[in-house]
Amino acid sequence: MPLPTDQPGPARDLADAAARVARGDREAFEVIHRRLDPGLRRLLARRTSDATLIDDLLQRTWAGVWEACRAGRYDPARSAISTFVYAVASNTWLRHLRGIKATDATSPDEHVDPDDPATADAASLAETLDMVRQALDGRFADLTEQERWILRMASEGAGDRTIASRLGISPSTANQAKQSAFGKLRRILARFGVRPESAERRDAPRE
Amino acid sequence: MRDDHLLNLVRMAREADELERGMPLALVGEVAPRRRVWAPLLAIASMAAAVTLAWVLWPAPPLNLPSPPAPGPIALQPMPRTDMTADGGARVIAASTESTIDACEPSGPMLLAVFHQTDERCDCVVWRPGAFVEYDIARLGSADLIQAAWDNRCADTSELVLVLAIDGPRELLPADADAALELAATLSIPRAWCGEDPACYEDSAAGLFPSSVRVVAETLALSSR
Repeated sequence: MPLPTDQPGPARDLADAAARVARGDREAFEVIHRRLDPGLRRLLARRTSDATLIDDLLQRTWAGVWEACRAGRYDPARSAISTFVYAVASNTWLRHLRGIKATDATSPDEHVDPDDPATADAASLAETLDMVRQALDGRFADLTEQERWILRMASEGAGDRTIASRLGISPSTANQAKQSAFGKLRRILARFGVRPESAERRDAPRE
Repeated sequence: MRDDHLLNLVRMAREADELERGMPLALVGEVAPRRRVWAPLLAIASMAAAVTLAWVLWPAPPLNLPSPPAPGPIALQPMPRTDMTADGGARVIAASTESTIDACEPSGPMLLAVFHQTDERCDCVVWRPGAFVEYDIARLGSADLIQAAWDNRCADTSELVLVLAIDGPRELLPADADAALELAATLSIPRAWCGEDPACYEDSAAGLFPSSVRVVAETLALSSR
């Protein structure tokens, strides 16, 4: 999906830098790294308190971003560089979890779900996430403001009762509204060809 | 696509959004060094003083002056939470670090980062005067604050890091490690009810200073999820 034309300045600067990275511009890569690394560290810090591990994950993430950009696996026309970096970091984190699991045979296989779009390759995941970002921003008329709010609340773990109490409606009505939001988000994603359950997406090489 | 997969995508999309929004500010252009009109005069005076000194001391051996401490962040550690009061323990600990304080530390917005342990103890405090010099702290993003604290971190296993950028008239800001430690102790008191809410800490800090002092706070929770 093409990037929206009304990107704010910083995002546009990053998009320009990403295009230059594809041509091997190390300074452009440093621009992206300098701007996104602190936020990435903050996000990783929510998943682990191990500072050494965070440094290692960041190192692997940025190495992956650099290699992907150089190899042409990142397409600025498909997703924002910030989303792509996030997707690479997410995959790096998942790989780390799988590594832990591989050394612990007693641990259940709970981290990997082949039907989960979050396990797609970074480029596909970034593209999907960018669409969801735009949906949450109200770029598609399908979702009402209340439905977008419900999706955000539910993603934070809020149940039907919590959502209902905040909206002043019954839990069953809140659940119906949530299901309606899910249906609309599914249709938006399907409209743009996102079918995470398809084999080619699952089998795509990971970043 | 399952509902939980959709919700996971929403959560991830929001995090990606946060990543983009949390971009640190780019410093606009290079900061020009301050013009010091008195610098040439000082150089001449220094040369004259050096000649006079050499004349007086000759043929005595050259002076062996100790080199001044290198400027930089001052980490005060370790410091049990129970000692973090405006009197007593905090002062004693700070006194042991006084020799590391350079009286010529730069002025300007300062960094104060308090690293907390899970058991309510304080690991250490980082105080860095002038850390945000040339920045308007009102325009600092959370990522700037977190990055500054992280770059100067004094502990790797903290549960919560409280980061503050403080700006105002120099005479109203903490002038030494003692004062910084006292401030860190006072700002840590509301942790019980502020939790990870930076605005809550900002409100608490605002009550400690005159209105001409501005405080921006951020927290970084490092607990596993």
